[in-house]
Amino acid sequence: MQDREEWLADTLVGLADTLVADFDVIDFLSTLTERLVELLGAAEVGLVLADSQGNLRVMAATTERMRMLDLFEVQTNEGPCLDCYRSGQPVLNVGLDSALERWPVFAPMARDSGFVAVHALALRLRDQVIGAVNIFHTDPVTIGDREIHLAQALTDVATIGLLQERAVRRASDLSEQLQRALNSRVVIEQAKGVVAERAGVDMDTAFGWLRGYARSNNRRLAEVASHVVERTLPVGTLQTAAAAAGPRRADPWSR
Amino acid sequence: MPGWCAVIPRAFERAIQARAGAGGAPALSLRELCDAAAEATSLRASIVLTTEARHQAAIAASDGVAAIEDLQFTLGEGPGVDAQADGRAVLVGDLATRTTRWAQFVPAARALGVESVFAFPLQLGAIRAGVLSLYAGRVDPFEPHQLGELATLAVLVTDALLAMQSGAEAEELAWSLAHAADHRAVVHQATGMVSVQLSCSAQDALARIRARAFAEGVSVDDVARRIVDRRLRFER
Repeated sequence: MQDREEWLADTLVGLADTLVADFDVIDFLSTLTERLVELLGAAEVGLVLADSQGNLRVMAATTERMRMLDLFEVQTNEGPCLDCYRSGQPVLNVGLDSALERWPVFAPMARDSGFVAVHALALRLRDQVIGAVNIFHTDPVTIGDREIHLAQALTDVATIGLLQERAVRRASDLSEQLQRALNSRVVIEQAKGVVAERAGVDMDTAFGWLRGYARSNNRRLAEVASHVVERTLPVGTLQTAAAAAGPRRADPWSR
Repeated sequence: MPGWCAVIPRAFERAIQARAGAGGAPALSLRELCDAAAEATSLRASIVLTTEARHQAAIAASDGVAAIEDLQFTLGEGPGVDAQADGRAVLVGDLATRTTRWAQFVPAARALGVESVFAFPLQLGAIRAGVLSLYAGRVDPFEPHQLGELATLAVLVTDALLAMQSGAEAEELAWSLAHAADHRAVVHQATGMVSVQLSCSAQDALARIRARAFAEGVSVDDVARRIVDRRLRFER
């Protein structure tokens, strides 16, 4: 990252772009995870939100591989995201080898997936923690204070965007918006299943098609997903569009 | 820590368990589900189920509010209609403030003694099973934090409803409410896959997956994972 200031300005503008009406929550959060990968030199980044029962649910991840999603889902019970969510404090530079007792299920799972170190940052709205960002490294790196501050700043911008803060005056608005965001994510999972079964592709590819189609047609990912599940958008259309777009260039999902 | 409280959801679970344990009925009825929601909130409640084409398919309501549902259906306006159409909660602490939005519904509902309405879509991704509405005879019956609890209640009612529709027996239903474990990505992915395999709706696909899990005595997760790994297919 040669010019960090320029990168940061671009990123903030990019995130602010999504603050306009009718923005796509899931795509917005995906963008945040990609920017955090760039900023922190991370291998993977994912984001979880707490549902109305306080369980952490995956909203976005830089890959949609099942094993990666599992690593977030296990954190309903233990892991850096849960620690961060409960305490409101960041979890920084934790080597997985030294965390086997702290996270007896999560740490070995993450290590088996090739990761060495993890971090988590809180998604906060005023005094309330609504979720966490999880950062995975495959090298034993230490993230410096400067990077952490920048990462937290991006996360804060994203939280405001996610909740359209001005609209969140009451606890009921907050829980309603979170519930809607979580439901969008469920539609996307259902649509991935439809595409995977119909076209005989894996979930990662299915997600790439959905997202590629949404982006190139300027439509919301959750809306495209909903049409796929309801059969008002044929999987063949996504497949054709993906073939026309060529290999998934410059797309972090294809890593 | 977030301010989630769980007084209403816990009360709902107890109300379901009490009904599941009583009378030896093989399964809960829609009316019992509705009554449990009413009991947990100390309000009158209705559950309106909708078809895939979003038409009313079935209705259960506390005494005195069935007429309000009929009214919404006839007029084609009201909080329940909006909740269903928009897929979002419609929370109206004071109906008198919405006379413009629902010009015919508001006076008619107030004439029936209703002053506030809280309507929640019963949905899971693309599955939209219906609407839960709660009716109060006074303005603003809830504190803001309790409205968050109502959102949780709606999630539990959705769970119970989808379990009921897959033929779960009462005891299993009570159990599955206490172990709400089927919100994992793999279950939703499997739902999409099975809907293709059986050429059916997502709702029916989920019902088949759950029924299979109950029949085999394994978790819904377990069945879903086999489907996603392509070790299990459903045949028409």
